[in-house]
Amino acid sequence: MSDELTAGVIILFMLVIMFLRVPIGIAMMLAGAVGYSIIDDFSTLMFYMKGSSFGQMASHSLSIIPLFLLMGNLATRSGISRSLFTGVNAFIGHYRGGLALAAVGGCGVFGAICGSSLATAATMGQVALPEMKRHGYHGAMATGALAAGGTLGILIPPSIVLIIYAIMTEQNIVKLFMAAMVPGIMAIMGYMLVIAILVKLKPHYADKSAKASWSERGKALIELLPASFLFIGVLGGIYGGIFTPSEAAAYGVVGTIVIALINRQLTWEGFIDCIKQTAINSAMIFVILLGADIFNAFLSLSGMPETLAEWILDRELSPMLVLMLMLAVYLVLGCLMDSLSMILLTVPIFFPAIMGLDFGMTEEQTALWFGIICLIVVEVGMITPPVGMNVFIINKIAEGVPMRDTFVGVLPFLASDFVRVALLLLFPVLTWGIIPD
Amino acid sequence: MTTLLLKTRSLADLYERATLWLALLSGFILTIMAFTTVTSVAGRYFFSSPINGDTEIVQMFTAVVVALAMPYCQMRFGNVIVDVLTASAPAPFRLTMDVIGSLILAVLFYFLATQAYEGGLAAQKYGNETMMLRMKEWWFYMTIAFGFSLTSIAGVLKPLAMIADYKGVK
Repeated sequence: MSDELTAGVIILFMLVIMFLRVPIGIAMMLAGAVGYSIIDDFSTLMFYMKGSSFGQMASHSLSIIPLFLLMGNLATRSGISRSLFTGVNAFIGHYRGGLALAAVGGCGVFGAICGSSLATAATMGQVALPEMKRHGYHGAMATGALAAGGTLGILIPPSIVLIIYAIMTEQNIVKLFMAAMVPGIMAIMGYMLVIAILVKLKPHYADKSAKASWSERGKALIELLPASFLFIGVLGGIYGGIFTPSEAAAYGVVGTIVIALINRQLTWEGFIDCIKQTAINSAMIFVILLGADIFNAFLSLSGMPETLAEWILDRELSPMLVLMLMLAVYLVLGCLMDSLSMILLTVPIFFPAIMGLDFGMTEEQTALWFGIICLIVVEVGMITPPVGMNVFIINKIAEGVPMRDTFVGVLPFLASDFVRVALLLLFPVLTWGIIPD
Repeated sequence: MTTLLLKTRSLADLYERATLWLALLSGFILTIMAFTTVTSVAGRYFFSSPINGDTEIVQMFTAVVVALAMPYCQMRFGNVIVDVLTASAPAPFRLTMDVIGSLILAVLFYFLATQAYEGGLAAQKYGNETMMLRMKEWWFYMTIAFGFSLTSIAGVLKPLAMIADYKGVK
């Protein structure tokens, strides 16, 4: 059996055990180890493993993962989400659908503090859903806006998935974060546009709140200050080159602790809970990283990604067609797996193929553009059935809204996601255009 | 049989509590890492005196943070699984598959642990150190080996606890 064929069989084997509940990282590690031993031999694998874990774990660039996770966990119990929501609401709440607009805006800012979709959806949901219910918002509108808004958590930098993509493809993290900026703003505006259109078509979906007085607005602005410090510090620091991403994450952790203490939200028990959760999340991600490392060592040994890339090139397929096929794979996989595992699994195979094709851009531009599009497409999986984690968590928090309403409510936002992907496919400059030379 | 299950159940509980302490230690180290970095950055900008080797501290201690968190993660069954396709499968089937998954993890982490240990011995032999602070690399290899060993044990204990729970042993 040729090495490439072995690789194919091993990948199939991995998918089967993965779908049979073997943890994703462990399935990748087992498949990688078996494949490595077949193509080379067991003792070389053992030799490889001597240094690989240390190399993966004692890594400065990966230190941002636990740091950003801690920051996100702290942010969810710092009272930041409440001040964001009330702050934005004081200015736009009196429009029809204003609370939903404020929730999306709040998610966008919160996304800069928290790199997880789920945490963003859940945290904003706890604050915004009761308010919307009180103002008679339709369940589909309230839950749809929040489930979709949550995906901003991962799209707006810092984003764990982007960090992993950057490391795997040896791209500059700061540039990737920059490339995500315009698409992130497009996402916020797209979601807001959806809300505006929805309330025009279905006025019973949402009500107006009382217009806030200027003194209330002033108070809301002051409340927004601490969150703005974090937002500007983390994003501005990274974009402005003042902080490295790790330093920005550390600043975020310390800043969030300070804000939570000022807001009198952080108790000792709360803090213990945060670090416990951070430990579980970090370990979980690193188990997948360790598995992906061994799996990738095997993949590159087999030469399968290069062969696939050459095969695609020889077919002289249109580059866009190849890209569309890959995105279709992401949409299907997104119904089954979480974003991070999907990226770790597919990028080693897809990335060489994409880089081998000519999209009329430099290599770096292609890499940045592909990363952002992948990120958006895998995030779509967070709001589509049957896995749609965001949808489930928001529906659970909303209490009393039928699941069907939530899925129906998400549909228009999903449509705006597809429009955004189409725009980015047509105009790649929207991603790397703002990066200074 | 029931007494045996009962014993393993309480052993697993004890082990989970022990690994929880390690996870908390991991969280404290992480928090200290954040404060160290911020102090260093502030020192760099305001007093032009950053903490020497701050990036090395962060790099090396990331390994410690992650290694100490892994056993607890497995005891809490925190590793990501794809459960869409098996969510409606009969409970005994799901239990069996979860037990198998956990045992595979135990075997793989046994190999990871022994190899990290071997790597540590090699690093000690060659006297590998970090550039600025001259921290010995083998300390960190050994911490990783320690965390991996405990994770491997967790991979064996967790299934026993799950079986005991399934049989309704309280």
